Amino acid sequence: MFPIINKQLLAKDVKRLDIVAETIAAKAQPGQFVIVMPERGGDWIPLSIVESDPLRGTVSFIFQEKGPATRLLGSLSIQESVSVVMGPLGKPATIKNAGTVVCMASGTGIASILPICRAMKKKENKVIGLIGAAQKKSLLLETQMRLACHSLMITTEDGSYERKGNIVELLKEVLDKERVKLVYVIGNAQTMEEACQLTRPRKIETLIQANTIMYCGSGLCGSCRLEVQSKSVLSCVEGPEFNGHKVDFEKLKIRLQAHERTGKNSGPDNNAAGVMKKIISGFWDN
Amino acid sequence: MLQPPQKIQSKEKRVRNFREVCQGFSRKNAVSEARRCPQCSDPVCMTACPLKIDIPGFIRLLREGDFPASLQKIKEQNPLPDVCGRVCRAPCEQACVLKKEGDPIAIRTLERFAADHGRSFSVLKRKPRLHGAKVAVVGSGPSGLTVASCLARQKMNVTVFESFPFLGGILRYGIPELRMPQKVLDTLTDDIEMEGVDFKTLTRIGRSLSIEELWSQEYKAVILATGTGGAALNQIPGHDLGGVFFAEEFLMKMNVAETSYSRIQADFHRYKRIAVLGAGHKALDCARLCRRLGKDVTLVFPLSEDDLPIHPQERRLALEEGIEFAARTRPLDLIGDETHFVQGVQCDRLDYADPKADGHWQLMVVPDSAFIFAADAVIIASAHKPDMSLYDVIPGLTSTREGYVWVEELSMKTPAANVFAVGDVTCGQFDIVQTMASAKKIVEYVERGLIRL
Ligand SMILES: Cc1cc2nc3c(=O)[nH]c(=O)nc-3n(C[C@H](O)[C@H](O)[C@H](O)COP(=O)(O)OP(=O)(O)OC[C@H]3O[C@@H](n4cnc5c(N)ncnc54)[C@H](O)[C@@H]3O)c2cc1C
Ligand SMILES: Cc1cc2nc3c(=O)[nH]c(=O)nc-3n(C[C@H](O)[C@H](O)[C@H](O)COP(=O)(O)OP(=O)(O)OC[C@H]3O[C@@H](n4cnc5c(N)ncnc54)[C@H](O)[C@@H]3O)c2cc1C
Ligand code: SF4
Ligand code: SF4
Ligand code: FES
Repeated sequence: MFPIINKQLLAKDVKRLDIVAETIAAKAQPGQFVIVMPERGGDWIPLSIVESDPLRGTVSFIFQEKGPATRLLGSLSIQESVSVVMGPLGKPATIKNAGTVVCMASGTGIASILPICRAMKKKENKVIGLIGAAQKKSLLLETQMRLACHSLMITTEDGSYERKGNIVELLKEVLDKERVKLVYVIGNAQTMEEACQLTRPRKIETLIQANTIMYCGSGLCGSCRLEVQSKSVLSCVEGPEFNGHKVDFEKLKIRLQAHERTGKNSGPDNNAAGVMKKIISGFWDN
Repeated sequence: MLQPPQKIQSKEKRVRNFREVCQGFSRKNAVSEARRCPQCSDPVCMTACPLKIDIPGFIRLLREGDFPASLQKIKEQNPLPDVCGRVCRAPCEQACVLKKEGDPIAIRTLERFAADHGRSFSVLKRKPRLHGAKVAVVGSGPSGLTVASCLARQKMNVTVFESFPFLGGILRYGIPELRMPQKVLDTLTDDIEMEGVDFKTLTRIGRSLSIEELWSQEYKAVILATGTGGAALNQIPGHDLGGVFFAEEFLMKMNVAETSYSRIQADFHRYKRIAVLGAGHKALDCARLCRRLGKDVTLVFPLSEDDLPIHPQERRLALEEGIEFAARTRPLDLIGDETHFVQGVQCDRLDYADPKADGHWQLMVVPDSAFIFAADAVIIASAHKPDMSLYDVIPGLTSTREGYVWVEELSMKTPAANVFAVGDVTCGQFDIVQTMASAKKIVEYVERGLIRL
C-alpha cells in the first residue's frame, strides 16, 4: 500500500498526488513512469513521475480525470492509499547540454515534460517552454513551468488566454528566431508529427514521448507497440522517449484510433456472456 | 479399460462462467483409477516424467487410501503438485503402458487428487528462520517457485523478487481461472512462504534493484527465473491494425483485474469472429476465454491436429465448447479494411508431401492454396522471447542465437559469476514440468556440494 500524503486540485479535473514509495523515489529519473493501480484488483494505468524526492521517499503524479481509472485515483483522499505503484519503468529521458532547448507539450503532456524541463535547466541549457491547452481553465502547471524554463509561451485553442492557436505555430516562430539545438515534444500524435515536420528540414534533433496505450509496462503484453525506423518496438521498455524523426506517426495514429473506437463507442455487452460475473478469489490478499 | 469419469462442468454451463472447468476425480473414482495401475516393475511413466516422480509409489498410497502420504511422496520430487496436477502436459501419460490397450492411467488427475485431498492442515504456522547462504531468485513463475522451495528445504535463506504485484508468473497472469484457480495459487505460495521463503513483489531486478545491490546485500547467488517476458513482435505483418491483440495483453486483462476485464469485454463488444493464431496451451486458453465472451473462435495453426502440444483432455474440452480448429493453415499476413481494422488473415494451406520420395513426409505448402480467413479480431499467441534488457543489467550474461540466456547444461550456470538461470528464460520451448526440472538441476548440484552457496 502506498499512502497519499498530499493532494492538490490544480485545475478543473486535474489533480496532483504525492505518495510515499521509497524504493521508487530513490531510483526515479526524469522521463520515467509508473503503473498505478488505484484500488485493489482494479484497473491500472501508466502515469509519468512528475517529481520524486528520495529524502522524503515520495513521488508525485499529476493527472487529468478522463475516464474510470483516473477518476477513481482522483477520488482518493489524503491518508488513504493507492493499492499498487509499480516502477520506475521506461528509459530515463536523454538529458544533455545541447545549448538552446525547446520543451513543448500540450494537455496532460505538460505533466510529463515538467521533470524534463527541470533537468534540462539543471544541465545549463537555455530552456524555452511552449505549452498549450484547449482553454484557459484546462491549462496545467503554468507556474511550475515558468520556474522550470527560461522563457515560457502559452497558447489556447479558443484564445481565452495568451495566444490563440497551437504550440506548433509557436515552435515555428521560435525556430525562426533562435538557434535551437534540441526539441522535446510531448503531446498528441498530430502535434508531435507536425513538430517533427518542422524540425526535420532544419536537422534539429527532436525527441518525443510515445503516448501509446500501455498495460503491463514491462515489455510483456505488446500493447504499447509502435513502429520506429520500420521496426516494431515496445514503448514501455525501449521508450517512452524516441527520436521523433524515426517514428512512424501514421501507424501510431492507427494504433491510438483502434483503441479509441473499441473502448468508447461500445455499450455494455448484453449477450449471455455480458452479464457473467468474473470471480477473483482472494487474489489480492497476498 | 477406460478411465472413470471426472467431475466436469457441463458444456452448456461452463461457457457461461469463468470457474474451473474440471474438478478431478471423486474419492471413489480416484481409488478405482489408482487400482487400475498394475504397478509396473519398470515404470516407463516415471522415466517420462521430467521430475522423476515415483508414480507407481504415489498411486499405491492412493489406492491404500493414505492421501497425505501419497502427496508427501509426490512432494519429494515436485514442490508444486497442485499446479502440475492441473496443467502439466503429462508426458507420463503418453508413456504409460496401458495406453496401448486403452486409456492410460490418468496420472495427472491422480496427482491433483492427492494435492487436493492430501493436504494436512497442520497447526504449525510459524515461518522457520533459515540460516543458510542468502540466495536471490528473480521471478516467481513455476521455475522460480521450484528453486525457492527446494533451496529452502536445504536451509538456504531464499528471497524471491517479483516485478509484478502478484506471485506465480504465467500461472497467475497467463493461465486463466478455468484451468488454474487463483485460490490454489494463493495456498501454494502461502505454503512456500511457510517453508521459509521470503517474497518481495514490485521489485524488478535491473530497475528497482540492481544486481550490484544484491551482491552488496550479501546474496551469494542470483538465480534468474524470469521467463519469456518479451513480446515477440515482427512475426506477422499487420499487427498494428485495430482488433489485433497479443495473447498476453488479452490474458492479463482477463486474469488480473475485474475492472480491466469489464473493459476488455467492452473492447470485444464489436468483434464476432475471432482467429487465434497459435497452437499451444496459450492459444487454447485465449480461445476458451473468447468462447466465454460469446464469440465464434477458430484456432489457426500450421501443424496437423494430431501434433498439437496440448493435453488430450484439454483439447477434448475445448472442442466440446465449440472452438474450431483450422489445422495445417499457415497465417502469413493480417489484412485490414479502410478504417485500419483487421478483417481477415491471409493464409496458406499445408499438407503432407514426400518431396524427395524417400519416405520423409513433411508438411509443405499446397501450391495456389492462398486464401483469406475472415475474422474481425485476431489474437496472436505465438512464442515469446526473454526480456532483452536482462543483458544490459547483468554484466557477463551471454545469449544463444535465439536470444535465450546461455547456461551450462548440467549446472544451469551462466558465464556471469554466481548467476544461474532456469526455466523458460534459458529455452523458449519449455512447458511447466520442464521448467521445473531445469530448476531442480541447481538443487541437485547444491546437494552434491558441486555448487557451494
Ligand atoms: C508513459 C505514459 C505516461 C503518462 N503520463 C500521464 C500523466 O502524467 N498524466 C496524465 O494525466 N496522463 C498520463 N498518461 C495517460 C494516462 O495513462 C491515461 O490518461 C489514463 O490511462 C486514462 O485512463 P482512464 O481509465 O482514466 O480513462 P479512459 O477512459 O480509459 O481513457 C481516456 C484516454 O486515455 C488514454 N488511455 C487510456 N488507457 C491508457 C493506457 N493504458 N495507456 C495510455 N493511455 C491510455 C486514451 O487516449 C483514452 O482515450 C500517460 C500515458 C503514458 C503511456
Ligand atoms: C496462457 C499460457 C498457458 C500455458 N499453459 C501451459 C500448460 O497448460 N502446460 C504447460 O506445461 N505449460 C503451459 N504454458 C507454458 C508455461 O506456463 C511456461 O513454460 C512456464 O510458466 C515458464 O515458467 P518460468 O518460471 O520460466 O517463467 P514465468 O512463468 O514467465 O515467470 C517469470 C516471472 O519472472 C518475473 N520477472 C521477469 N523479469 C523480472 C525481473 N527483472 N525482476 C523480477 N521479476 C522478474 C515475471 O514477472 C514473472 O512473474 C502456458 C503458457 C501460457 C502463456
Ligand atoms: S509432473 Fe507431469 S509428467 Fe510428472 S507425473 Fe505429474 S503429470 Fe506426469
Ligand atoms: S506405466 Fe502406467 S501402468 Fe505402469 S506404473 Fe506407470 S502409470 Fe502404472
Ligand atoms: S505495456 Fe505491455 S509491452 Fe509495453
